[in-house]
Amino acid sequence: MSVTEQQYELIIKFIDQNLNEKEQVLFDTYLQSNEAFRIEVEQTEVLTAGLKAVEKANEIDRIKGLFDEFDAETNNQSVKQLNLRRLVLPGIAASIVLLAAVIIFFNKKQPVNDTLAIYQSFYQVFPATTEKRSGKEGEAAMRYYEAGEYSKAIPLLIKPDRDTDDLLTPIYLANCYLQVDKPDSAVSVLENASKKLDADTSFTGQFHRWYLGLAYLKSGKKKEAEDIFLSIAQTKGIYQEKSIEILELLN
Amino acid sequence: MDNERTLLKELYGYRKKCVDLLLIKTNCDQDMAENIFIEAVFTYKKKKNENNLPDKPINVRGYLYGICHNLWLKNYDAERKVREAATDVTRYFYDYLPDHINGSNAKMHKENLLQAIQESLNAMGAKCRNIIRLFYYEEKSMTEIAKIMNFKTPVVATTAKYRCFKEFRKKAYQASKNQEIKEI
Repeated sequence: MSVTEQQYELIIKFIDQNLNEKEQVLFDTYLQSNEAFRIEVEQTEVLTAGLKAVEKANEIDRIKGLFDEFDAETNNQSVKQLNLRRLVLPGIAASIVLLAAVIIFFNKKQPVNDTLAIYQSFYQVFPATTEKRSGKEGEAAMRYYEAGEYSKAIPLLIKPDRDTDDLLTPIYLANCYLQVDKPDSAVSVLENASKKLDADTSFTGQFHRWYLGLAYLKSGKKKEAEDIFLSIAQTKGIYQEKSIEILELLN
Repeated sequence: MDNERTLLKELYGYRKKCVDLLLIKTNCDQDMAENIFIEAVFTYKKKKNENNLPDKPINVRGYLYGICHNLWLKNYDAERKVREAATDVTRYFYDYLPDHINGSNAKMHKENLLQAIQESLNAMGAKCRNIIRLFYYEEKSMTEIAKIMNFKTPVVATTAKYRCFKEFRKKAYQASKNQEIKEI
């Protein structure tokens, strides 16, 4: 026994919660008196519950599928980022290392074995003072010195009648020898003069040791140069910092 | 559809936090936490579609976790109450089934019944399936359905829905011919 079309329309309206008062009364009557009607109502309720459950399960599956897709996208992005990092980071790292190396290379004072190069970097001719030199020859020597005619100044500066107490003369003479590429002679003059100036921390003493050190550098006497610049570096004075720089270059 | 995808992608962004919180605050395992989160996303989306989200601005992550936690409590109870609910679709079925039917033998044939329903839905035309889905599952009014599906009037849509549901019922019965559905 099955329900009529009219009864079925009533059941659908009940499921859809769309019964009016008159229809509701009729529905209740059928439900209480008609077993086929009651079964059909129950079956339709089960069908709609099943329908909703299946649709919900399908939608949940669809969301899961989308989330899997998002997972894959995220993983792909991670892999791409990883690959990008693998490609770019070593390049960046290499560039940084290279840049650092270049900076270090240019900033760090390289040990220079060429003592002549160090000499050329630091040597400045000792300035002629306005102080009058004693005697006519002395004045002439200083004129040549100021004019840069060092070879003409040398014989006048080494005259045996020169004032032996004039401590600046050996410095001028040594500078002349250095200018005319006779560093050994400069060393000799300053070493002799320095004997009088041991432990002398006066300006004159500082000039002596400084130019002696430069004379050693020009003559290639590295060990002697190191010793004298070390002594200058250990004493407060006008050449202290420069001596430290020279020592760094030498080492 | 693009809006839906955007929304789901936004909600997907809260997955890890919510799942981690579930693992910390409840005794559920990873799979259950993942499933609860998906169902929470489903619930959130449904509420949003039905304009049932709170009026005031909400912290989406916090709100989503709140749904997760409620679902966990519900599932925990449901598992105690309906231990035979082996699959998610069965659990959903019990959720939708009216209380007065719970004692019937519908439960005995639930797997076959649900399979028959799925088959009959798959066998239907796209238009019919859509109208049934919109009305029974998404709970749209006939006025809304008429607008969405380009029916001339809601009455025309109602007539189409009636015809489609009858077809669905017929197919479901056919699919379950040997599955004792009619004995319910």
